[in-house]
Amino acid sequence: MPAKRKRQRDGPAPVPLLPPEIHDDDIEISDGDVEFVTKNKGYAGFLSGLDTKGITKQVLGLKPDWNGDNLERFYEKKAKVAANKDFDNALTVDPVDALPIKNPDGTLEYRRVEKAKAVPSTEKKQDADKKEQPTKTKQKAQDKSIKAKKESKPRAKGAEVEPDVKKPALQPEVLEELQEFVSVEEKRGHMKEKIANLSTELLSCPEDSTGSLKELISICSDKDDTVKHFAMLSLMAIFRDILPGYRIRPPTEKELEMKVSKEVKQTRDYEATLLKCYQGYVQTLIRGSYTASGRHIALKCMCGLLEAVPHFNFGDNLLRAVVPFLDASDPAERTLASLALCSLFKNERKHGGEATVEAVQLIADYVKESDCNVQPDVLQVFLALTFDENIVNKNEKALHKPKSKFKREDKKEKRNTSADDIRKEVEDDFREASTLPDAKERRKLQTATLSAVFETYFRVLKAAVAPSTATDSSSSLCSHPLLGTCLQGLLKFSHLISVDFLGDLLAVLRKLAEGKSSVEERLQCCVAAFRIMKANLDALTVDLKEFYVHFYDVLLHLYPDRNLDSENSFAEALQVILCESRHHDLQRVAAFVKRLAAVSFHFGSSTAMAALVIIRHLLLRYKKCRNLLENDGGGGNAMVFHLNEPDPDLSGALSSVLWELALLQSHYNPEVAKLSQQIAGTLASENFSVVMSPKDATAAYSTQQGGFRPAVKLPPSKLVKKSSYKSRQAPSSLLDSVEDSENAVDFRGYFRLLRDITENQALRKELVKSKTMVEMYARYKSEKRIAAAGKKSKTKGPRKINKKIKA
Amino acid sequence: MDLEKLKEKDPEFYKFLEEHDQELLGFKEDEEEEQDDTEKPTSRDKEEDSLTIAHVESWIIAVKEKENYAALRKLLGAFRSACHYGEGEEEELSERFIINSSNVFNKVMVFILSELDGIFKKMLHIHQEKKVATEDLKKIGRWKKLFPFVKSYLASALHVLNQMTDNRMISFTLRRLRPSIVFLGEFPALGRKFLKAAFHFWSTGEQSLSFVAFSCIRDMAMQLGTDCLESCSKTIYKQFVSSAKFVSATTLPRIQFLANCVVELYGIDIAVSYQCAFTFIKQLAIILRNALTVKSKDSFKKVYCWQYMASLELWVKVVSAYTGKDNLQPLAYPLAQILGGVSRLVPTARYFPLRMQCAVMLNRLAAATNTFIPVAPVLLDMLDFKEMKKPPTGGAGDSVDFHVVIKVGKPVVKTRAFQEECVNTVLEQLAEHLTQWCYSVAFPELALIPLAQLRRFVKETNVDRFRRLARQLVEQIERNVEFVTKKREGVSFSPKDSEAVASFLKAEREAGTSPLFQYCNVLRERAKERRQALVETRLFSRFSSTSFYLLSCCSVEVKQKPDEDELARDDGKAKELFNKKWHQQKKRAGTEILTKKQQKEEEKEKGDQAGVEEDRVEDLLLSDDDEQDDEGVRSNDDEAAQKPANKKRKRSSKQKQRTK
Repeated sequence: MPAKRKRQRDGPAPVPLLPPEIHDDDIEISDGDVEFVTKNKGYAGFLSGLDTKGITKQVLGLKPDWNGDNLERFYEKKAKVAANKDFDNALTVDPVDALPIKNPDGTLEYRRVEKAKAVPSTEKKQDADKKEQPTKTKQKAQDKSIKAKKESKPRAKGAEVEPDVKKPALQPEVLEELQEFVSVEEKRGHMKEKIANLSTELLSCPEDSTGSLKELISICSDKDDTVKHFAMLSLMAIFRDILPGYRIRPPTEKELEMKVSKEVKQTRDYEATLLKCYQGYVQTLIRGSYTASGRHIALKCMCGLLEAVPHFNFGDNLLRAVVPFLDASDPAERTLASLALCSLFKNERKHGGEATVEAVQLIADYVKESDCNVQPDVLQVFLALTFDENIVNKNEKALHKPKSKFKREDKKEKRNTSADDIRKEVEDDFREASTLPDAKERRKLQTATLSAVFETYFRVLKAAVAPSTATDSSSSLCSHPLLGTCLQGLLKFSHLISVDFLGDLLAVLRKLAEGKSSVEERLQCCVAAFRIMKANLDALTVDLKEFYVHFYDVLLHLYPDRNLDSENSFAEALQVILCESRHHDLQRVAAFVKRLAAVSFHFGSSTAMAALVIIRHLLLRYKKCRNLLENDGGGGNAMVFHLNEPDPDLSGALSSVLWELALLQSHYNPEVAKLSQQIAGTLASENFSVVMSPKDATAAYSTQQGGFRPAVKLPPSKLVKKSSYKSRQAPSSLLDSVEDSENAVDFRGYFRLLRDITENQALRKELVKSKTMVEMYARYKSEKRIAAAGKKSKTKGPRKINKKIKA
Repeated sequence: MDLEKLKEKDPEFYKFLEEHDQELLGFKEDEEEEQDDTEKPTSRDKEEDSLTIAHVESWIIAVKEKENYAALRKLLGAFRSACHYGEGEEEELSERFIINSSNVFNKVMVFILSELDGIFKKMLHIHQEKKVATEDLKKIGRWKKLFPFVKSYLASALHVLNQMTDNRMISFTLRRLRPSIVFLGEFPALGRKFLKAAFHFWSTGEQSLSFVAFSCIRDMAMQLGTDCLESCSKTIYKQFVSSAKFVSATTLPRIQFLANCVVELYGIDIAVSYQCAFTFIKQLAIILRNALTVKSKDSFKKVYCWQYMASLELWVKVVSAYTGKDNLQPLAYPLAQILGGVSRLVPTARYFPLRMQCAVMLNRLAAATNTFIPVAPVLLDMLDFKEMKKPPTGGAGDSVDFHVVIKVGKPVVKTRAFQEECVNTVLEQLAEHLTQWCYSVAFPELALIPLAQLRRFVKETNVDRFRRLARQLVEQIERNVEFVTKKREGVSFSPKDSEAVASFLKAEREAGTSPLFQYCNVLRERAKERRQALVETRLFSRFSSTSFYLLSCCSVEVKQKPDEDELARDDGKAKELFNKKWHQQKKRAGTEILTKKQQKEEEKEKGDQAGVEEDRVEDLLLSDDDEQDDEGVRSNDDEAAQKPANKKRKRSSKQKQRTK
């Protein structure tokens, strides 16, 4: 039976169970059965009337579908049939036995022949079943062959299924489910193949296979999600390849009326179909992006298209669909969308900037609609934008420029004609070849983009300022998720801000820097304010004193060592506020020097280095501040230094002493210690050739990514080898005192233990030996009994061995 | 013999056997041969080879008094067979003595182990006290002659060392082998074997054994020169790391003991130590860098685990122990940076215990090396967490011992006990950090940021207790700021005059008059009490091992002076904590052994009263380990009770067979 089972498992068609095969083997026909049948020939007569030939023929008909294993079984069965025929013709094909009963404990019970007679009415049905089964088998075999073609995944699933199938007496529902599953798998494999075929066809010759394009798009609305996704993804790849590098404009009526050559017509037809198909596809995608299951795939496809073919028709539809995903709750989707948009912004060549404007405006609208309560990713993408340096302020100048250039060219032309002709020709060709739109157009687009960007930024700022007065301080921290990115953006584009807004902007920033927002944001506000000032030096005469005060305060609460970004932003702040700005008040400088020195106690080494570098810079720049290094009783300054004074101008720092350097000299980081020593001691000599910006210092000494800067002192490369060392101190003396207490160790117990173990081992060995002996003897006895019954000699052997057993 | 009989009596069966199971027959034949072998000597041993006490004693006298080589050879032969006793047939010894009496065995072992080293040295004319380098041995004339004897002695002793299981015997053997370490230099293979065994016992054995093993390792490293020391330094660290995988209240003292041993070993040659420490600290840094760059959960786990923390702590200890320019001071910088990086790696409240450990280590490192390490941001950052500002929602909760956990569960973070422990330790460590510089001329500036942030915390926290505690600290810091400011108004030196800066407030420092210093002492006292309470609750809540635990109290809280004084009174003037701990442990171990002995004997004698005995023992040592041991003893006894019976049966049957 087990052997049989196993073979069955190998067989191709597990589902229908092949019951006759089982019963052939298993049924033992008792004498009583035979008797019964022969006695009641009247009942059993129908058995002989069965169309055995037909049945076998049907089985035979299956032969081509069966593999070797099945064939073998078939012939085996045939042989049995032949053997049984002599016995009783009817029994060989008794269909009643086809369905075994499964007991609760899982064992199978096969009905006997008698029962078959008791329920003869079911016989026909069984017969019908049996006819059905082979067809099922056939189908399954086909399934199998298709499955085999598929990839490993479905096959693994199929393998999983099979053991279940093997269990006899499966409920029909389960069977159906399985069948469905198998058919779905099969269908998927089928569709996959189809998609692959269509795609290769399309790619090889897109013009000729618009039919397959249509078909593929129709697959996109398949019921099965998996198939749908396959189709979508492959279509994305296809469209990325086959879409032309220009936008297709539907021909006007006039154009349609005109007679055109065959080729033009062909192209036109193709383009029309392509456009239509693409439209359908985009629509499908957009529809898909609303559903939960297909959202991710649809988004992926849309992003792929946006990256590759932003210039093409329906780009705006795609953008409209993708932009909301910047605010998706799933971070993976957010990154997908933002990556797509960033690449859109960066590769403006493809679409000439139009898509950028579109996207930025869409984002601006989105932010507006959702009241600035969106994920920071939405604004993060703006940072990828690039603008020409001169687009805002120099609009007029820029307009003039080409003219003057032209004039100059005129003059040149007069001078040397022949060489310039060639050059001009080349230039013209080049301009034609490059897809860049002319400067005017570009400027227009960029201005539109920029205004949308700033509109959004200002909106965010306004939103951040407005409610912060209304709500309490604790909630204001999290209510402006966009503030950080917004400030970052402002920093980046600060040079582009129009002068008209600057006053308001600074007011808002001042409000934000005052407090309530987080320390980092306050720092960013200060930096932004100084940046803006610097960019518009000629246009503004605003005193940034308040920002100095804020920065002075922010320094107290800053943890710049949290990560690389905060380290860098701190260094940048130092650079912008203290290095690059205009002339400072001496008191203010001294106060900042003092504060930075105090703060650098609690910074990591890289930021401490940045702070010290700034201190050095300031002390070098403002000679008078070097008083801080000397303890000369306030240097005749009447003011007394107040550490906790919030206003740097009023702190009286000029009369203090930079004591911090004394302690910083014992800083654990050798470089910090060295630099502070340098500042404290040798600054007067002014021999600083190396000028380092705080940013450089941070970069040079940052250990956020691990490593040591400066490097750790290396061990000596060669050791002085010593043959022995003299005992420095003596834990050994301790040990000796201990020794005495435990001097007497008794090894007798150990000996006994060892002895017992050995003896035990020996005895065990003996036992094993004796046992084998007895076994051998038993074998010997039995063999002897079989071989020759007559001999009866050995009496000693068994007795002896018996004794051994007792032992 | 059986087989031959069988052959006679039942040739057919014999033939059958031959046909079917050669193996069985062969095995029998072997056996027979062996039996022949063994039987002959047994017949002989009654007269000659079986060792008697008289034999051994006569040899001993011969060796001791006449330095007789023949007797020495015999003794070593006996020792060898004693060491290889009970190992079955594999050994093929040319000189083989049969030891049938436990007395003889004992005599041989004890004599050889305890006196042979002295005899060797006497023969080589080496004075016991004088240390001799290995190289000098070759110069001694008799060394060549003694060489094989010493080798045999050491080889046998090492062999038996690896066989033994009883801790007392092992430590005895180790201790006896210690004087002979000088000889091991001549036999590198044996030396390696010895070291391996010693390291094994050091890292796994119970404390007294561990100490003996360590002193062997130390002697080995000292006497055999740089190469040996180098390999020892490496191995000891690796062993330490592998035994510091799991830290709990029970294992912590042991790990600290092991760490102290490592510190001791690294003190032998600073140049070697620097090299080893440098590589190992670099390894730690590489792991950290990996975590910083990869940022995967697994890489974080490699840093945030006990092994990593224990090694960091070890290095902090080592570097702190040997500060100074020529010593390991330069390694304080990478260590501090690693500690800072580790504390910031995963900034969540659940890892506060780990962060706190880092802060403690940083403080310790800074204090030992007298360098400035920015500990304050690590601590103040913790107060900034929203978990510390919100009132606790998770109920009171069990108190958490920050020394024996790295990470706490999410619900624990919300408990009051956790919050309290956090705030308390943050304030304590902050005070500790500032106290280190409370006499510094730059103290007012140093305190600026901590003050600002503490004030903010006072303002923002909702818990009255925390506010009160923080305000207290703020007041003390302010007082100290005032104290320093006033003093420095009078000075005339500048920041660059480093000598003058160093001597600023020297008198006050020695007198300990700064307000913050005094307050910090109060805080330390409080912390000690808190910890004591924690220990007690733990002791009450479950029977944790006392002997180790009490130890941990005095070792973890380095500043616990009163306790130590008491100990010191008992043990004379041992200066190092290391030593003290050892003594205490030693005593305990002694009593343990004693009680165990008693218990064993008594149990054997009056097995019925075992229950009473157990109660008594539990009173004496409330330890898990010992309870386990008790069980072990009991089960052993049970087995022992069964075994003899079995054996008797077997033996009698065997005898029957033989007689047949």
